[in-house]
Amino acid sequence: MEKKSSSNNKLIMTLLNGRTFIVLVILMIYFSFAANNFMTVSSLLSVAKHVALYGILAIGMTYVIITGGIDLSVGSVAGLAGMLAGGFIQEGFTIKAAGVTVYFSVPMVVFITILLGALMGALNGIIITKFNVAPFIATLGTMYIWRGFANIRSNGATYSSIAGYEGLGNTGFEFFGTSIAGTPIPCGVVILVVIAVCAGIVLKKTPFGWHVLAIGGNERAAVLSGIKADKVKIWVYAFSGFCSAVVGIIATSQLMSGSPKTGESWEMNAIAASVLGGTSMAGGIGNIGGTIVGAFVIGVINDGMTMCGVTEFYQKVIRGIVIILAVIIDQVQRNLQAKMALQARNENK
Amino acid sequence: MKKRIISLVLAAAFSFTMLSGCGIAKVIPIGTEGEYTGEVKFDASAGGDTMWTDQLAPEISEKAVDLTELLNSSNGDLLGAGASAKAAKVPTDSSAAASKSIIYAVKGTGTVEEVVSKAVDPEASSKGYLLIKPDGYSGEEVIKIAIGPVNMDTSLRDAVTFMDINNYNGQKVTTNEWADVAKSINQMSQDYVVANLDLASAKGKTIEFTGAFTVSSTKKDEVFITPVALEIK
Repeated sequence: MEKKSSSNNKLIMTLLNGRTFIVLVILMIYFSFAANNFMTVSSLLSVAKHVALYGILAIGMTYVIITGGIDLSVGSVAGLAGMLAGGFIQEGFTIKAAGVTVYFSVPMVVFITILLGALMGALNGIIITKFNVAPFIATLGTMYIWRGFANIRSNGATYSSIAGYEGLGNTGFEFFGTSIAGTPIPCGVVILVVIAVCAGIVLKKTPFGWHVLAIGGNERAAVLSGIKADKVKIWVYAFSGFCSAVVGIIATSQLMSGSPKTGESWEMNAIAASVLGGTSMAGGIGNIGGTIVGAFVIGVINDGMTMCGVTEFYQKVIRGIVIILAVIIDQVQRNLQAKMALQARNENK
Repeated sequence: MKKRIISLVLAAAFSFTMLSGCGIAKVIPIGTEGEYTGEVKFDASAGGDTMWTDQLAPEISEKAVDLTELLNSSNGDLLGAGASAKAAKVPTDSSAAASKSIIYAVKGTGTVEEVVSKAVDPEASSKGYLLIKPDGYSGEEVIKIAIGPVNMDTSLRDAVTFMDINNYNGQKVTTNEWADVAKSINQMSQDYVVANLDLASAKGKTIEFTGAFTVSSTKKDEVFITPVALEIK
């Protein structure tokens, strides 16, 4: 009798471990019937383009959540990054004292924007670790600050001429928003894969990744075992800022216009993707593969519902329900895991 | 300190040269983008002085109807068909049509009842005006003549036929650029008409004016004229 219950538990555990993927498959099947044009190459590429944005944000968010924190500023950093990049291309960087305007080449614009994004993230880390401000509050504050600066950058206007000019040597920004030459694969998806693979390897195979997991599991124990928790956290938030800046660049390039509204409420999609992917809000648990699947679930739900004609109002309700269900299932999984561990110990006795 | 400043300046100059040389960045003097892009920067005051003296002011003067006559015949309904027959222009673009605006070019004489101007009172609003009573009019309409320096009115720009948002100096302009054209024209009104007036002694005097104003469903109780000609007698 006990053996039967144990094998049942194992089956349930296997299903729970792969729950996000199973949900993704079910959603794909459902929307392929519900929306006539969902299973076309162009629709799936469009979904992939959106998933790339949420996915990259969610990778940074996963690292942050694993350390037991949260980063609400990712959407605003993405917005400001887009405005910085758009502004550098359209208006250049004017140094009035020298009487010149500097027009950077696109690789340089990307480099500067990403560097600034990482610095914005690092600032979150510094506020949280050095001033003992709760991550929720610190990043809520910077969320408003960066969004404010995104509007101040252009006085609320949109940068719409960001194709650049040959004469100014700043053409080619559209690269990040289009498909890789000769293939239908969006550049954003390739960037997502590269960042995901690197972030996955770093998290599971390097001392830095183990430190991140250790801090989230038990920060006090991690510090006592010699891990410099503050330093690790600052790097983690800087990485989240880096991911946000990359997203800002891709989104601006996809639209070929820099809007100060870009990225509004995207932090919620990033958190949702992380949680759906099995990252524990309590910290210490999470993996990048799960987050990517979570991002696909969010992307498929968003785009699928839009294609089915579901209004934005209902979409929000459904997204909220999906997130709560994901956390409940996560809790069930943990209880079951504990029960199975206890069972195994009793069997060994 | 001096050495530090010199070395900083030299470092900055070196950086700019390096950045320009290796293709990482192009450093150009401020405002010379057109030479590199081939695009002509939008000039809101294109035509400038000649446009004002040869085109705008003559067209407004030519179209101008007597203000007193217009007010008396409209019976307080400047948006009505009777009055609008005398209009300088009824805009056809959708935004203006939606608010049912009509632009009148008018002329007349009247008495200055009040002067709101920073030239008279430093505390006064910068959206200065002369409150006037047109000769021969005893109705309730409030008549004001813009004397700036701030004037957000677009009547002069909208009253003339040679200006079009879709074809301004051969190009289609944006809404912001179109607003800049109105600002530029109002500045001309300020420079050509208002700057020479002795506003401090204007109260109680008779004036002769020519200008344009806009009436819309949301702005019909006040006649706010931007002048192309104004003389205090």
